[in-house]
Amino acid sequence: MNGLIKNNLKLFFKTKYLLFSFLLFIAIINIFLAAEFYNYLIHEDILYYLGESQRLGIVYFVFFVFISYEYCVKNKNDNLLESISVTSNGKFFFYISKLITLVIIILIMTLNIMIYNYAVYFLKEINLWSFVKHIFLNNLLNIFLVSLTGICIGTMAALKLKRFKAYFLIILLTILISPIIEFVPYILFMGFGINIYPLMNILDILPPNLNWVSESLYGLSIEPYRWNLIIFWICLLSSAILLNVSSKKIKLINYISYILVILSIYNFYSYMNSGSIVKKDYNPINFTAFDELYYSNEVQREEKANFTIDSYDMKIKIDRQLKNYVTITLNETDVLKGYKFTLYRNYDIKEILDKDNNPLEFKRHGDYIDVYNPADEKLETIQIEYSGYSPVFYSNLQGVLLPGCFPYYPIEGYRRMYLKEQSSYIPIIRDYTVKFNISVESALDIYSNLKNEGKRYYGEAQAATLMGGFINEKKYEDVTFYGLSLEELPKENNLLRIDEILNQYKSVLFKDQYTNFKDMKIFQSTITLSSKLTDNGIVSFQDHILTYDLSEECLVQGFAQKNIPYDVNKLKVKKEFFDYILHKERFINISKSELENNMIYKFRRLFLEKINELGEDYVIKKTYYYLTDENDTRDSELFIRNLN
Amino acid sequence: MLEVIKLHKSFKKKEVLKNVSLEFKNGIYGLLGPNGAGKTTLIRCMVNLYDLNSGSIEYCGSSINGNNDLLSNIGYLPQKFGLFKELTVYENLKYFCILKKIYKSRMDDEIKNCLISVNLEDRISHKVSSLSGGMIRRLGIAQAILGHPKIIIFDEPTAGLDPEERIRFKNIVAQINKDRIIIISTHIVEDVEASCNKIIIMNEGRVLKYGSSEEIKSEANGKVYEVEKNLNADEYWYVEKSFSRNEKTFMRILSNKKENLKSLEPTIEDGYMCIVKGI
Amino acid sequence: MKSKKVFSYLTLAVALLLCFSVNVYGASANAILLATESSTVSSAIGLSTYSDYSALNSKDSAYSVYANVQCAFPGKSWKQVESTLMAAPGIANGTNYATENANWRLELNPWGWGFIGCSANGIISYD
Repeated sequence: MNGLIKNNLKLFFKTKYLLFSFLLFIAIINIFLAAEFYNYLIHEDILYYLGESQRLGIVYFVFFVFISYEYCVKNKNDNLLESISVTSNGKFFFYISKLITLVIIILIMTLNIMIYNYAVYFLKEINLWSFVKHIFLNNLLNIFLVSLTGICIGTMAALKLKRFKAYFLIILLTILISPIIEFVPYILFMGFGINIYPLMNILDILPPNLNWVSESLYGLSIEPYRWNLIIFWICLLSSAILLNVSSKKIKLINYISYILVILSIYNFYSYMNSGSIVKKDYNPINFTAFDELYYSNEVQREEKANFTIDSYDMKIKIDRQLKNYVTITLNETDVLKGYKFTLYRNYDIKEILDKDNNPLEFKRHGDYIDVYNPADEKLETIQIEYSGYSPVFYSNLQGVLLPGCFPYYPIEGYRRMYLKEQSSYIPIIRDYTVKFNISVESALDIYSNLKNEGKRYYGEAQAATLMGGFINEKKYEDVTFYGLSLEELPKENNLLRIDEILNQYKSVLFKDQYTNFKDMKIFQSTITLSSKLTDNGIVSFQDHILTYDLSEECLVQGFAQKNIPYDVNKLKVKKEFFDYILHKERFINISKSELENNMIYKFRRLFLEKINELGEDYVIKKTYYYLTDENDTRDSELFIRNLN
Repeated sequence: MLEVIKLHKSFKKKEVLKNVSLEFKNGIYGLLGPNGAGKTTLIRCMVNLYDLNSGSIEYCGSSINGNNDLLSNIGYLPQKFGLFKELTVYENLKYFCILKKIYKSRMDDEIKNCLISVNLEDRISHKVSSLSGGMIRRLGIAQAILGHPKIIIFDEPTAGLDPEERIRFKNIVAQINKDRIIIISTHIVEDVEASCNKIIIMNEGRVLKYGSSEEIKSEANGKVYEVEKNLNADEYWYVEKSFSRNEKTFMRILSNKKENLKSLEPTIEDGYMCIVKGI
Repeated sequence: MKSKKVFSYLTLAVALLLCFSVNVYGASANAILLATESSTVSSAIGLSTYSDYSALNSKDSAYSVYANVQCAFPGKSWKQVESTLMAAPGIANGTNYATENANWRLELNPWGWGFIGCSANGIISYD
């Protein structure tokens, strides 16, 4: 076989048009990578560089489909195949050696990209083994395996089709695989409600989300479902190739073909059960629209629970999705017939048991659960087993983004969790603390606001935040900061002078409630949180805050919000309040015509009018009291109109 | 011994080989028949390119079908033959040596000897693209005889070759003839006339005659005549060819009726035509 | 070595030129989707580490409309930061941040071919 491969390599490089195409390909790839490398030297965004390099997947795919077709069909046209087929397993060895030759070329070309990626990695000096692995896996999946799929298609076309049909197929597949076809399912779904995304996704072997700013906690998409899909195609096509190039009587090859078919079926099944993925297309089941479409109907409710929770004991397993076995200790003053909980609707409940492991009847309606108590005594404990995922707040083998404000475990009462007017999630934060004891089984290092001992997280808090992926812990004096490993912090670290910063706002924002903030943990929000949560992803708990940035403004808002009960009705005022205090110049610099004519600034106009009319100090003071006063139930508009 | 036993082969509904039975011992066999007689199909069945519908092909008592050891004993030059044009003569033959699993240590000698046999030793380092059609055909013969196969099959080996190359081919066959079965499929009678020990005549998927050249010739005994062209043609006559002599045109005809005409000495071609045309 | 230097200066100059060329835009830009159009994208607003945006899909719109906020670092391609589906009627707003100065724009109804009949508008700005 070695001899055949050597000769095949020789043949490849001695065939003028193959050699020319190859050299042109190398040139294009390297010019692109070098230009991006130069860009990197200016911007130093390592994930951006990796993402841009993975865009080349489509170029690799097209090149290798074309080259493998031409390379394999060539000798068919040269009437060589008949004399080769007569030798013992000749056709088989001939094609397999050709495939191996092409695989060697893919390997070389994959290494080409990897060299650039690793060069960038070493320049960045982040020293993160998980990212070294991430680079490797991305290139393996998005470049190597995509190209391998390409050569399987090209070879199959060479074996079965004449040139015109083969080229037609190659062009058609390239269009179907490339992102330019995205408009077809979009139009069909948006315009006619026809969902062909599942069908289109079967050909979706290229990396998703490359047109998006990358999620630094998560990295680029290398979820298991993508491996499954690509392995499905490779196994299916290679089994077809094997059956075509080998004599039917060679049992071993037949067995290998059958094994490949079985593998492809298994991978397709696994692909269909993809679990938690991050795919930011317009597919109604994915990141962008899944919840938006659901909550656009009147499905949300708000109802206080007539019990509180003492503690959670959770056994969380995170692989393709989240599995949780949670034991909730309840605090009921009276015997209750029903217990209301909120749990994100895409977590499927397997069973609910009482303290003696007897099943409890329950009703699920979207995010809300009613658990019924059959006995005339307090339930005291409820055990719930469930599994599932959220397309936004992911939890899988690649990353974990489970902020405590998202009901990934049951929260007492019915709670609104989505503000459809702003298309963003509302943080759910209870006003008391509960005890947590969580064991997390995950391939990732998980960071939490809770105390940590190995895989166990425990302590008393309002909520439990779990984050994993490209995140690491840093201590700045007494402040613990969980920062995104791939993002650089500003040179001036505000955490080191946090007291000094907060002191400037003490009179306006903290007043009597000023406490020592140094005990708090700070989590750096990902872009998902900053774009999908209200308040731009700044969430404040008593023991930790989530903030996308360590700028003064973000930190101040993060710490100040701690004293402001979360109330959806007050969101508009809250936004103007913080914008005015923290970004005053920006706030007042909006052009007069914009302010007066643009509907978007309607509320801001009202707020400014009040400031001009009643004075800044007065309005700010009154607004702060309004925001902190839980008993004031007026909505934003009413408050601002009543302000005098 | 190579045996074809009651072989049937169909493509969809078209039966191409009908109950073909043949026996080959060491020697040179000519497989003669018109285009579409089933020669190439028979050969492709023999080299295991086609599956059989029924019957079998055996070599020394073992079925050849899917038997890799036996397949390595077959050298084959197909009707349409091509090589890697970008590689040299040596590299091409080396490629086949690897496919034929010839030991690395023996490869160079084997290649050299085969090239000497086909008179191409001086072209060993030339690119195939620089060779003439005849040379490529000879190189095809060289690849067929690589590894000393016990059976060598040539399918239309002289098609498109000039007379000099045809003579060269016959000489090569005469040279490599030892202890082997050589089967030459052709529709050109003169290719097999001198060199073949046995001739098989096929038509419409059947073997019509199996015998020596003398036996084939004898099929036309008393059936070959020469007549002037202006004579009224009899419906039983089969006109083989017309030719001119002394400003008169004559025809060479075959007839199974006793004619009162000038009788000629039969050739293999006459015998072949009598068999194929049923005269 | 010398030519290498010249090349890097040249590239740097081009990059800087690009930065300045996008700076000539205003600090805010509107995207107005008329009922007779299928999709629209605002002009770029220039370099900033953040941008505020607000968008509104009117109640008369025939379909829901996506509002996409995009940013591009100088010399690089546009990247989506946020994508929000606005029902009819519906609004979307927020502030988005970039790790360094980037150019920003707002797109309404991407892939909007054939979706005529939506009235939406949006504004993207920084101070």
